[in-house]
Amino acid sequence: MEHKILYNTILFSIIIGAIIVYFFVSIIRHHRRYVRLQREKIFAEITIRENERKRIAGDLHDSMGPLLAAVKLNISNVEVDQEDDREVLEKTARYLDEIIGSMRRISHDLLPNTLERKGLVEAIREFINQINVKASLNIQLYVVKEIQVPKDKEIHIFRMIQEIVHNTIKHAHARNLQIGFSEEEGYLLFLAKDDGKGFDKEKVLAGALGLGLRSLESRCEILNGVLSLESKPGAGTNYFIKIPVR
Amino acid sequence: MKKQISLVIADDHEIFRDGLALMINKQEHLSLVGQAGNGRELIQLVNEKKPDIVITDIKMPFLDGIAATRLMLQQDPLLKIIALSMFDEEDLIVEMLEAGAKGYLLKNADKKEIQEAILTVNDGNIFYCKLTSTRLASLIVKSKFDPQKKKSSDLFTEREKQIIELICLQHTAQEIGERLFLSKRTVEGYRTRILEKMEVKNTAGVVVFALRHNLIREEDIL
Repeated sequence: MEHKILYNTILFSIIIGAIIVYFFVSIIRHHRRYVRLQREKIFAEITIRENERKRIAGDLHDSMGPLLAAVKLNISNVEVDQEDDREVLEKTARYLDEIIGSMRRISHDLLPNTLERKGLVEAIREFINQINVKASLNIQLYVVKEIQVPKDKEIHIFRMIQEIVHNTIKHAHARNLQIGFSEEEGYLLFLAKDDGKGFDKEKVLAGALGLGLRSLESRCEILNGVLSLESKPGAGTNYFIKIPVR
Repeated sequence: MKKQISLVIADDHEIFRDGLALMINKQEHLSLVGQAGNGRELIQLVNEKKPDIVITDIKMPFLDGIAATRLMLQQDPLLKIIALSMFDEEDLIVEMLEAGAKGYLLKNADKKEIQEAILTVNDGNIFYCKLTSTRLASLIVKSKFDPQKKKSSDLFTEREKQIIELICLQHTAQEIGERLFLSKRTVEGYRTRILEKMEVKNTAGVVVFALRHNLIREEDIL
Protein backbone atom coordinates (compact mmCIF):
# COMPACT_ATOMS: atom_id res chain seq x y z
CA MET A 1 0.00 0.00 0.00
CA GLU A 2 2.75 2.41 1.08
CA HIS A 3 4.71 1.47 -1.97
CA LYS A 4 1.80 2.33 -4.13
CA ILE A 5 1.43 5.77 -2.57
CA LEU A 6 5.16 6.45 -2.97
CA TYR A 7 5.01 5.23 -6.54
CA ASN A 8 2.04 7.45 -7.32
CA THR A 9 3.66 10.47 -5.71
CA ILE A 10 6.83 10.01 -7.73
CA LEU A 11 4.87 9.54 -10.92
CA PHE A 12 2.79 12.58 -10.18
CA SER A 13 5.89 14.67 -9.43
CA ILE A 14 7.51 13.58 -12.65
CA ILE A 15 4.42 14.54 -14.62
CA ILE A 16 4.18 17.93 -12.92
CA GLY A 17 7.93 18.41 -13.44
CA ALA A 18 7.64 17.53 -17.11
CA ILE A 19 4.76 19.96 -17.53
CA ILE A 20 6.73 22.72 -15.82
CA VAL A 21 9.81 22.04 -17.98
CA TYR A 22 7.69 21.92 -21.10
CA PHE A 23 6.07 25.18 -20.08
CA PHE A 24 9.39 26.95 -19.58
CA VAL A 25 10.88 25.56 -22.75
CA SER A 26 7.83 26.77 -24.65
CA ILE A 27 8.10 30.21 -23.16
CA ILE A 28 11.78 30.45 -24.03
CA ARG A 29 11.18 29.19 -27.54
CA HIS A 30 8.30 31.50 -28.01
CA HIS A 31 10.35 34.41 -26.78
CA ARG A 32 13.23 33.55 -29.09
CA ARG A 33 10.88 33.31 -32.00
CA TYR A 34 9.34 36.62 -31.05
CA VAL A 35 12.75 38.30 -30.92
CA ARG A 36 13.71 36.77 -34.25
CA LEU A 37 10.48 37.87 -35.88
CA GLN A 38 10.86 41.32 -34.41
CA ARG A 39 14.34 41.58 -35.84
CA GLU A 40 13.16 40.34 -39.22
CA LYS A 41 10.36 42.87 -39.14
CA ILE A 42 12.73 45.74 -38.41
CA PHE A 43 15.05 44.47 -41.11
CA ALA A 44 12.21 44.30 -43.63
CA GLU A 45 11.00 47.77 -42.70
CA ILE A 46 14.43 49.31 -43.02
CA THR A 47 15.08 47.50 -46.30
CA ILE A 48 11.78 48.67 -47.73
CA ARG A 49 12.54 52.21 -46.67
CA GLU A 50 16.00 52.14 -48.23
CA ASN A 51 14.69 50.66 -51.48
CA GLU A 52 11.99 53.28 -51.61
CA ARG A 53 14.52 56.04 -51.07
CA LYS A 54 16.73 54.61 -53.77
CA ARG A 55 13.84 54.48 -56.21
CA ILE A 56 12.75 58.06 -55.53
CA ALA A 57 16.33 59.36 -55.71
CA GLY A 58 16.82 57.53 -59.01
CA ASP A 59 13.57 58.84 -60.48
CA LEU A 60 14.38 62.40 -59.50
CA HIS A 61 17.89 62.16 -60.85
CA ASP A 62 17.36 60.14 -64.01
CA SER A 63 13.87 61.13 -65.11
CA MET A 64 12.93 64.50 -63.68
CA GLY A 65 16.40 65.99 -64.07
CA PRO A 66 16.71 65.55 -67.82
CA LEU A 67 13.10 66.66 -68.29
CA LEU A 68 13.69 69.92 -66.46
CA ALA A 69 16.95 70.41 -68.35
CA ALA A 70 15.00 69.89 -71.59
CA VAL A 71 12.45 72.50 -70.52
CA LYS A 72 15.26 74.94 -69.85
CA LEU A 73 16.81 74.24 -73.23
CA ASN A 74 13.46 74.75 -74.96
CA ILE A 75 12.95 78.07 -73.24
CA SER A 76 16.37 79.26 -74.30
CA ASN A 77 15.43 78.32 -77.87
CA VAL A 78 12.65 80.91 -77.88
CA GLU A 79 13.78 84.17 -79.38
CA VAL A 80 11.93 87.36 -78.58
CA ASP A 81 12.40 90.94 -79.72
CA GLN A 82 11.09 92.72 -76.66
CA GLU A 83 13.60 93.37 -73.89
CA ASP A 84 11.06 92.72 -71.10
CA ASP A 85 10.03 89.42 -72.69
CA ARG A 86 13.63 88.39 -72.78
CA GLU A 87 13.95 89.25 -69.10
CA VAL A 88 10.97 87.01 -68.32
CA LEU A 89 12.60 84.13 -70.17
CA GLU A 90 15.92 84.65 -68.44
CA LYS A 91 14.22 84.77 -65.07
CA THR A 92 12.35 81.55 -65.86
CA ALA A 93 15.61 79.87 -66.81
CA ARG A 94 17.08 80.93 -63.47
CA TYR A 95 14.04 79.54 -61.63
CA LEU A 96 14.53 76.27 -63.44
CA ASP A 97 18.15 76.23 -62.35
CA GLU A 98 16.99 76.67 -58.77
CA ILE A 99 14.52 73.81 -59.13
CA ILE A 100 17.18 71.57 -60.66
CA GLY A 101 19.53 72.55 -57.84
CA SER A 102 17.06 71.72 -55.08
CA MET A 103 16.14 68.47 -56.79
CA ARG A 104 19.79 67.58 -56.80
CA ARG A 105 19.95 68.18 -53.05
CA ILE A 106 16.81 66.14 -52.38
CA SER A 107 18.04 63.27 -54.52
CA HIS A 108 21.45 63.39 -52.87
CA ASP A 109 19.99 63.46 -49.35
CA LEU A 110 17.83 60.45 -50.14
CA LEU A 111 20.74 58.43 -51.41
CA PRO A 112 24.16 59.72 -52.35
CA ASN A 113 25.11 58.67 -55.84
CA THR A 114 28.66 58.04 -54.77
CA LEU A 115 27.61 55.20 -52.47
CA GLU A 116 26.11 53.35 -55.40
CA ARG A 117 29.00 53.92 -57.72
CA LYS A 118 32.14 54.29 -55.68
CA GLY A 119 31.36 52.41 -52.50
CA LEU A 120 31.29 53.12 -48.81
CA VAL A 121 34.60 54.78 -48.10
CA GLU A 122 34.32 57.26 -50.99
CA ALA A 123 30.75 58.10 -49.98
CA ILE A 124 31.84 58.72 -46.41
CA ARG A 125 34.73 60.89 -47.59
CA GLU A 126 32.36 62.95 -49.68
CA PHE A 127 29.83 63.23 -46.85
CA ILE A 128 32.51 64.38 -44.42
CA ASN A 129 33.90 66.93 -46.87
CA GLN A 130 30.45 68.41 -47.25
CA ILE A 131 29.99 68.64 -43.48
CA ASN A 132 33.44 70.18 -43.02
CA VAL A 133 32.52 72.91 -45.50
CA LYS A 134 29.07 73.66 -44.07
CA ALA A 135 29.14 72.99 -40.36
CA SER A 136 31.32 74.32 -37.57
CA LEU A 137 32.31 70.76 -36.74
CA ASN A 138 35.72 69.62 -37.90
CA ILE A 139 35.79 65.94 -38.82
CA GLN A 140 38.92 63.91 -39.38
CA LEU A 141 38.67 60.60 -41.12
CA TYR A 142 41.26 57.89 -40.68
CA VAL A 143 41.03 54.83 -42.87
CA VAL A 144 43.54 52.53 -41.28
CA LYS A 145 42.91 49.69 -43.66
CA GLU A 146 40.90 49.70 -46.88
CA ILE A 147 37.69 47.86 -46.18
CA GLN A 148 35.68 45.61 -48.44
CA VAL A 149 32.05 45.74 -47.36
CA PRO A 150 29.31 43.70 -49.05
CA LYS A 151 27.05 45.97 -51.15
CA ASP A 152 23.90 45.23 -49.14
CA LYS A 153 25.57 46.24 -45.89
CA GLU A 154 27.06 49.49 -47.13
CA ILE A 155 23.90 51.53 -46.95
CA HIS A 156 23.32 50.58 -43.31
CA ILE A 157 26.84 51.47 -42.28
CA PHE A 158 26.60 54.72 -44.20
CA ARG A 159 23.35 55.61 -42.43
CA MET A 160 24.89 54.81 -39.05
CA ILE A 161 27.73 57.21 -39.73
CA GLN A 162 25.31 59.86 -40.91
CA GLU A 163 23.33 59.40 -37.73
CA ILE A 164 26.42 59.72 -35.55
CA VAL A 165 27.64 62.83 -37.36
CA HIS A 166 24.21 64.44 -37.21
CA ASN A 167 23.91 63.61 -33.52
CA THR A 168 27.28 65.19 -32.91
CA ILE A 169 26.33 68.35 -34.80
CA LYS A 170 22.91 68.63 -33.22
CA HIS A 171 23.50 67.73 -29.62
CA ALA A 172 27.16 67.40 -28.73
CA HIS A 173 28.34 70.98 -29.41
CA ALA A 174 31.66 69.41 -30.27
CA ARG A 175 34.47 71.09 -32.15
CA ASN A 176 36.20 67.98 -33.37
CA LEU A 177 35.03 64.55 -34.36
CA GLN A 178 37.50 61.84 -35.21
CA ILE A 179 36.31 58.89 -37.20
CA GLY A 180 38.41 55.81 -37.75
CA PHE A 181 37.90 52.68 -39.84
CA SER A 182 39.75 49.45 -39.93
CA GLU A 183 39.27 45.81 -40.71
CA GLU A 184 40.37 42.94 -38.54
CA GLU A 185 39.72 39.26 -39.07
CA GLY A 186 36.60 39.80 -41.10
CA TYR A 187 35.19 42.50 -38.88
CA LEU A 188 34.71 46.12 -39.75
CA LEU A 189 35.82 48.22 -36.82
CA PHE A 190 34.52 51.72 -36.53
CA LEU A 191 35.37 54.29 -33.93
CA ALA A 192 34.02 57.81 -33.51
CA LYS A 193 35.18 60.17 -30.81
CA ASP A 194 34.03 63.71 -30.18
CA ASP A 195 35.10 66.42 -27.73
CA GLY A 196 31.55 67.61 -27.05
CA LYS A 197 29.51 67.93 -23.92
CA GLY A 198 28.56 64.26 -23.65
CA PHE A 199 25.28 62.97 -22.24
CA ASP A 200 23.66 60.63 -19.77
CA LYS A 201 22.96 57.53 -21.83
CA GLU A 202 20.11 56.15 -19.71
CA LYS A 203 18.27 59.46 -19.68
CA VAL A 204 18.62 60.00 -23.43
CA LEU A 205 17.52 56.49 -24.33
CA ALA A 206 14.39 56.96 -22.23
CA GLY A 207 13.41 60.23 -23.91
CA ALA A 208 12.41 61.24 -27.42
CA LEU A 209 16.00 62.14 -28.28
CA GLY A 210 16.83 58.49 -27.99
CA LEU A 211 15.13 57.77 -31.30
CA GLY A 212 18.30 58.35 -33.27
CA LEU A 213 20.30 56.17 -30.93
CA ARG A 214 17.73 53.42 -31.10
CA SER A 215 17.78 53.48 -34.89
CA LEU A 216 21.56 53.21 -34.64
CA GLU A 217 21.14 50.14 -32.45
CA SER A 218 18.58 48.58 -34.82
CA ARG A 219 20.86 49.01 -37.81
CA CYS A 220 23.72 47.52 -35.89
CA GLU A 221 21.57 44.59 -34.83
CA ILE A 222 20.49 43.95 -38.42
CA LEU A 223 24.14 43.60 -39.36
CA ASN A 224 24.77 41.27 -36.41
CA GLY A 225 27.13 43.89 -35.09
CA VAL A 226 27.95 45.24 -31.69
CA LEU A 227 27.56 48.87 -30.74
CA SER A 228 29.06 50.25 -27.62
CA LEU A 229 28.67 53.80 -26.55
CA GLU A 230 30.54 55.63 -23.87
CA SER A 231 29.45 59.03 -22.80
CA LYS A 232 29.35 61.11 -19.65
CA PRO A 233 28.18 64.67 -19.28
CA GLY A 234 31.19 66.89 -19.90
CA ALA A 235 33.43 64.15 -21.19
CA GLY A 236 32.59 63.76 -24.89
CA THR A 237 31.18 60.70 -26.57
CA ASN A 238 32.81 57.60 -28.01
CA TYR A 239 31.08 55.20 -30.33
CA PHE A 240 32.57 51.84 -31.06
CA ILE A 241 31.02 49.54 -33.65
CA LYS A 242 32.09 46.08 -34.76
CA ILE A 243 30.36 44.44 -37.72
CA PRO A 244 31.11 41.15 -39.44
CA VAL A 245 31.72 41.83 -43.15
CA ARG A 246 32.67 38.44 -44.55
CA MET B 1 30.77 81.31 -95.63
CA LYS B 2 32.46 79.28 -92.91
CA LYS B 3 32.35 75.54 -93.21
CA GLN B 4 29.43 74.00 -91.38
CA ILE B 5 30.14 71.85 -88.34
CA SER B 6 28.30 68.54 -88.54
CA LEU B 7 26.99 67.00 -85.33
CA VAL B 8 25.48 63.82 -83.99
CA ILE B 9 23.71 63.84 -80.63
CA ALA B 10 22.87 60.95 -78.31
CA ASP B 11 20.62 60.90 -75.26
CA ASP B 12 18.05 58.40 -74.06
CA HIS B 13 15.57 61.19 -73.24
CA GLU B 14 13.82 62.12 -76.44
CA ILE B 15 12.56 65.38 -75.02
CA PHE B 16 16.06 66.52 -74.19
CA ARG B 17 17.29 65.45 -77.60
CA ASP B 18 14.48 67.43 -79.22
CA GLY B 19 15.48 70.58 -77.35
CA LEU B 20 19.10 70.15 -78.32
CA ALA B 21 18.20 69.40 -81.94
CA LEU B 22 16.03 72.51 -82.13
CA MET B 23 18.86 74.62 -80.78
CA ILE B 24 21.41 73.19 -83.19
CA ASN B 25 19.11 73.50 -86.19
CA LYS B 26 18.62 77.19 -85.47
CA GLN B 27 22.33 77.84 -85.85
CA GLU B 28 23.48 78.49 -89.39
CA HIS B 29 26.98 77.17 -88.94
CA LEU B 30 25.83 73.92 -87.31
CA SER B 31 24.22 70.99 -89.01
CA LEU B 32 22.66 68.11 -87.16
CA VAL B 33 23.16 64.91 -89.13
CA GLY B 34 21.73 62.34 -86.73
CA GLN B 35 20.25 61.50 -83.33
CA ALA B 36 20.72 58.35 -81.27
CA GLY B 37 18.84 57.05 -78.24
CA ASN B 38 21.60 54.82 -76.92
CA GLY B 39 25.28 54.01 -77.28
CA ARG B 40 24.81 51.27 -79.83
CA GLU B 41 22.78 53.48 -82.17
CA LEU B 42 25.36 56.21 -81.69
CA ILE B 43 28.23 54.09 -82.89
CA GLN B 44 26.31 52.98 -85.97
CA LEU B 45 25.31 56.53 -86.76
CA VAL B 46 28.82 57.90 -86.37
CA ASN B 47 30.14 55.21 -88.72
CA GLU B 48 27.55 56.15 -91.29
CA LYS B 49 27.57 59.93 -91.06
CA LYS B 50 31.16 60.73 -90.05
CA PRO B 51 30.27 63.89 -88.10
CA ASP B 52 32.82 66.45 -86.86
CA ILE B 53 31.48 66.44 -83.35
CA VAL B 54 29.45 64.07 -81.16
CA ILE B 55 27.52 65.30 -78.14
CA THR B 56 26.59 62.34 -76.00
CA ASP B 57 24.87 61.59 -72.72
CA ILE B 58 26.89 59.43 -70.33
CA LYS B 59 24.25 57.19 -68.80
CA MET B 60 22.46 55.41 -71.63
CA PRO B 61 20.93 51.97 -72.12
CA PHE B 62 22.74 49.14 -73.99
CA LEU B 63 26.06 50.92 -74.17
CA ASP B 64 26.95 53.91 -72.03
CA GLY B 65 28.68 57.06 -73.20
CA ILE B 66 32.04 56.04 -71.77
CA ALA B 67 32.23 52.72 -73.62
CA ALA B 68 30.81 54.34 -76.76
CA THR B 69 33.47 57.07 -76.59
CA ARG B 70 36.26 54.48 -76.41
CA LEU B 71 34.84 52.57 -79.36
CA MET B 72 34.25 55.65 -81.50
CA LEU B 73 37.78 56.91 -80.86
CA GLN B 74 39.23 53.53 -81.81
CA GLN B 75 37.56 53.93 -85.19
CA ASP B 76 38.37 57.59 -85.59
CA PRO B 77 40.92 59.04 -83.17
CA LEU B 78 40.27 62.56 -84.41
CA LEU B 79 36.57 62.57 -83.61
CA LYS B 80 35.64 65.28 -81.13
CA ILE B 81 33.32 64.19 -78.38
CA ILE B 82 31.50 66.31 -75.82
CA ALA B 83 29.96 64.60 -72.80
CA LEU B 84 26.53 65.56 -71.50
CA SER B 85 25.91 64.94 -67.86
CA MET B 86 23.38 65.35 -65.11
CA PHE B 87 24.50 66.85 -61.82
CA ASP B 88 26.24 64.63 -59.29
CA GLU B 89 28.03 62.63 -61.94
CA GLU B 90 31.47 64.12 -61.45
CA ASP B 91 33.24 60.78 -61.48
CA LEU B 92 31.49 59.81 -64.71
CA ILE B 93 32.59 63.06 -66.32
CA VAL B 94 36.17 62.29 -65.33
CA GLU B 95 35.82 58.81 -66.85
CA MET B 96 34.53 60.37 -70.08
CA LEU B 97 37.54 62.70 -70.23
CA GLU B 98 39.87 59.79 -69.55
CA ALA B 99 38.14 57.88 -72.33
CA GLY B 100 39.00 60.71 -74.69
CA ALA B 101 36.15 63.24 -74.63
CA LYS B 102 37.28 66.79 -75.38
CA GLY B 103 34.81 68.55 -73.14
CA TYR B 104 31.68 68.24 -71.09
CA LEU B 105 28.44 70.07 -70.50
CA LEU B 106 26.03 69.80 -67.63
CA LYS B 107 22.53 69.29 -68.96
CA ASN B 108 21.23 72.49 -67.48
CA ALA B 109 23.81 74.55 -69.36
CA ASP B 110 22.23 77.30 -71.44
CA LYS B 111 22.23 77.80 -75.17
CA LYS B 112 25.24 80.10 -75.21
CA GLU B 113 27.28 77.63 -73.21
CA ILE B 114 26.43 74.76 -75.54
CA GLN B 115 27.36 76.79 -78.61
CA GLU B 116 30.61 77.81 -76.98
CA ALA B 117 31.39 74.18 -76.17
CA ILE B 118 30.86 73.17 -79.80
CA LEU B 119 33.06 75.95 -81.15
CA THR B 120 35.81 75.46 -78.57
CA VAL B 121 36.05 71.73 -79.18
CA ASN B 122 35.84 72.23 -82.93
CA ASP B 123 38.88 74.53 -82.73
CA GLY B 124 40.78 71.70 -81.08
CA ASN B 125 40.60 73.01 -77.52
CA ILE B 126 39.26 71.48 -74.34
CA PHE B 127 35.97 72.73 -72.99
CA TYR B 128 35.21 72.82 -69.27
CA CYS B 129 31.58 73.63 -68.45
CA LYS B 130 31.00 76.89 -66.62
CA LEU B 131 29.01 75.01 -63.97
CA THR B 132 32.05 72.96 -62.90
CA SER B 133 32.19 72.44 -59.16
CA THR B 134 35.41 72.66 -57.19
CA ARG B 135 35.13 68.95 -56.48
CA LEU B 136 34.95 68.19 -60.19
CA ALA B 137 37.91 70.47 -60.93
CA SER B 138 40.03 68.69 -58.36
CA LEU B 139 38.92 65.26 -59.59
CA ILE B 140 39.94 66.26 -63.12
CA VAL B 141 43.33 67.43 -61.92
CA LYS B 142 43.91 64.14 -60.09
CA SER B 143 42.75 62.06 -63.05
CA LYS B 144 44.73 60.65 -65.95
CA PHE B 145 43.22 63.30 -68.18
CA ASP B 146 46.04 65.71 -68.93
CA PRO B 147 45.67 67.47 -72.24
CA GLN B 148 47.58 70.63 -71.42
CA LYS B 149 51.32 70.60 -71.58
CA LYS B 150 52.64 71.63 -68.20
CA LYS B 151 53.50 75.28 -68.26
CA SER B 152 55.81 77.07 -65.97
CA SER B 153 54.10 79.05 -63.26
CA ASP B 154 56.66 81.79 -63.99
CA LEU B 155 54.42 82.49 -66.92
CA PHE B 156 52.39 84.74 -64.66
CA THR B 157 53.29 87.98 -62.94
CA GLU B 158 52.59 88.36 -59.21
CA ARG B 159 49.58 90.55 -60.00
CA GLU B 160 48.22 87.90 -62.36
CA LYS B 161 48.69 85.22 -59.73
CA GLN B 162 46.71 87.33 -57.27
CA ILE B 163 43.95 87.72 -59.80
CA ILE B 164 43.98 84.00 -60.67
CA GLU B 165 43.40 83.19 -57.02
CA LEU B 166 40.47 85.59 -56.79
CA ILE B 167 38.98 84.25 -60.03
CA CYS B 168 39.17 80.73 -58.56
CA LEU B 169 37.29 81.99 -55.51
CA GLN B 170 34.49 82.97 -57.92
CA HIS B 171 34.89 86.73 -57.46
CA THR B 172 33.57 88.97 -60.22
CA ALA B 173 35.78 91.49 -62.03
CA GLN B 174 34.05 94.23 -60.04
CA GLU B 175 34.88 92.57 -56.69
CA ILE B 176 38.46 91.83 -57.70
CA GLY B 177 38.87 95.44 -58.75
CA GLU B 178 37.59 96.70 -55.39
CA ARG B 179 39.97 94.44 -53.52
CA LEU B 180 43.07 95.27 -55.51
CA PHE B 181 42.20 98.93 -56.12
CA LEU B 182 41.98 98.46 -59.87
CA SER B 183 39.23 99.42 -62.25
CA LYS B 184 36.84 96.77 -63.48
CA ARG B 185 38.17 97.31 -67.00
CA THR B 186 41.76 96.70 -65.94
CA VAL B 187 40.75 93.47 -64.17
CA GLU B 188 38.90 92.34 -67.29
CA GLY B 189 42.04 93.02 -69.31
CA TYR B 190 44.09 90.89 -66.89
CA ARG B 191 41.47 88.15 -67.03
CA THR B 192 41.58 88.02 -70.82
CA ARG B 193 45.38 87.78 -70.76
CA ILE B 194 45.24 85.01 -68.14
CA LEU B 195 42.73 83.02 -70.21
CA GLU B 196 44.95 83.42 -73.26
CA LYS B 197 48.09 82.31 -71.45
CA MET B 198 46.28 79.30 -70.01
CA GLU B 199 44.54 78.60 -73.33
CA VAL B 200 41.21 78.18 -71.59
CA LYS B 201 37.81 79.71 -72.17
CA ASN B 202 36.25 80.35 -68.77
CA THR B 203 36.57 80.30 -65.01
CA ALA B 204 36.22 76.51 -64.85
CA GLY B 205 39.24 76.21 -67.12
CA VAL B 206 41.19 78.66 -64.93
CA VAL B 207 40.38 76.62 -61.81
CA VAL B 208 41.52 73.35 -63.40
CA PHE B 209 44.71 74.98 -64.71
CA ALA B 210 45.50 76.69 -61.40
CA LEU B 211 44.97 73.48 -59.41
CA ARG B 212 47.11 71.48 -61.79
CA HIS B 213 49.94 74.00 -61.69
CA ASN B 214 49.76 74.50 -57.93
CA LEU B 215 48.82 78.14 -58.27
CA ILE B 216 46.10 77.44 -55.70
CA ARG B 217 45.41 74.67 -53.25
CA GLU B 218 42.18 72.71 -53.16
CA GLU B 219 41.54 73.65 -49.52
CA ASP B 220 41.68 77.35 -50.38
CA ILE B 221 38.77 77.26 -52.77
CA LEU B 222 36.44 74.80 -51.05
